[in-house]
Amino acid sequence: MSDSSGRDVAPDALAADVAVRYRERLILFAARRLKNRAAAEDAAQETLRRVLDALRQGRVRDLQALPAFTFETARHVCQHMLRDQYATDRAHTALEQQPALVMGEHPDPLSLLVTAERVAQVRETLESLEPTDRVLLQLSFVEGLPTREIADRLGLTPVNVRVRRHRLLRRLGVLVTDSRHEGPEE
Amino acid sequence: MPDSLTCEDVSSRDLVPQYVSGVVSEMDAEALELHVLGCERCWAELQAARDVRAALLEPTSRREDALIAGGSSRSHGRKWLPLVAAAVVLLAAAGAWETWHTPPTVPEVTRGEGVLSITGHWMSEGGLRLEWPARNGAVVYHVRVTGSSARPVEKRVTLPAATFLRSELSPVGQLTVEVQAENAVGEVIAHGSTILPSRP
Repeated sequence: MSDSSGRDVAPDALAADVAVRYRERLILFAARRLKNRAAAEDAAQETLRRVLDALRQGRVRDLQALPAFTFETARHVCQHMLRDQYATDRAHTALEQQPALVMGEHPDPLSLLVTAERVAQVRETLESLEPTDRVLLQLSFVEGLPTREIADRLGLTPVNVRVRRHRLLRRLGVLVTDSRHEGPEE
Repeated sequence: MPDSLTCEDVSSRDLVPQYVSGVVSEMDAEALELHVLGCERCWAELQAARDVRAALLEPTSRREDALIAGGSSRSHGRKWLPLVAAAVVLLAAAGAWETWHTPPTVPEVTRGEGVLSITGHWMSEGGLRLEWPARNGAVVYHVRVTGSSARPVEKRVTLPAATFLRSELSPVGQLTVEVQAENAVGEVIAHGSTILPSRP
C-alpha cells in the first residue's frame, strides 16, 4: 500500500488514522440518511470495520482512492440498514404490531449530534453578536436561504455575506484554524 | 460516484448552509460528503455550521438543562447552580400556573399592544402554515406547537411565518400554537397563542 508520493504505509498505522479521522464524518453522513443518532453510530462503526478490513487485506492499494472507497462503503451500509428497517416495519405491520421505528424519526437529525454543553457554549457566544449577524446566521443555517437572497434582505453583496458568515463562524470559536487545511484542491 | 468538488465550489454554491439546513439536493449532499472526507477546512466549516444551527434551534428548556448540568465552561458557574436550578423551577411553576389559569385565545384575534394575532392554514399535504404580523424590533420568533398525542414541536424563525410538516405534528386532536417575538437581546417583546382544530 502506498501514498500519493509512492511511499509504503503500514496498514495498521493507517487503519488507526482512518478511524480517528473519519469516524465523526461518517456519523454525520449516516445521521442525515438514518435520522437517528444510535443508528448513525452503528453505521459509522460498520463502515469503519469494512474499510479497515479492506486496508488490512490490501484491497485498497491507492490511498488517494480511500475517501471515495470510504464514502461508497458508508452509503452502502446506510442503504442496507434502511432496507432492513423497512422489512422489519412491514413484518410488524403484517402482524398488526406497533412498528419498532428506529430510523426516520427526527426532523433535524444533524442537531442530534451536538451535545447540550456545546449548544450552550455556542448560544452564549451567539447572544453577544450584533442583531444583523444573528439574522445572517439564522437565514443561512436555519432557513437555508440562498446567499443572494440573504444579501438582498440585509443590504449586502453576496460576497460580503459569505465573508461575514465565515468570519462569524470563526468568531464563534467553532472553526478549526485554516492552517490545518489539507484539502485536495482549492 | 458523486461529482468531485473544490473548496471554491463548496463556498460559491452555499453547499454547507444548504446541507445543514436540509435544503440541499441529494446529489450535492453526496458530493459535499465525498469532498469533506478529504478536506479538513470544509469539514471544520460543516461542523461549525451544524453547531450554530443546533444552537439557533435549541428550545430554552434544553439550554437551561445544560446550565444545570454544568454545561458552562466558566469555572465560577457551578456555585450558582442551585440558584439557577431554583429559578428554573420557579419559572416553570409560574409558566404552568399561567397556562392553567389563562383561557385559550380565540384564533385570529388581536388583543392590544404586545399580542400577536396568529393565523393557521392546513396545507393540502397535511402540513401546517402559520403566519402573524411582523413585530417592530423582533429579531427572532419562537414558535411552539403542542398537540394532544405528540411532544411539542418548536422552531425559531426570523420571518413572521413558519411551516410544520405533517410528520412533525400530532396526528389527531387540536393543536395549541404559541409564538413569542424576541428582540436582539433575547427579551420577549410580544406574544400570541391560539388553538387550532384538528387536521381536516
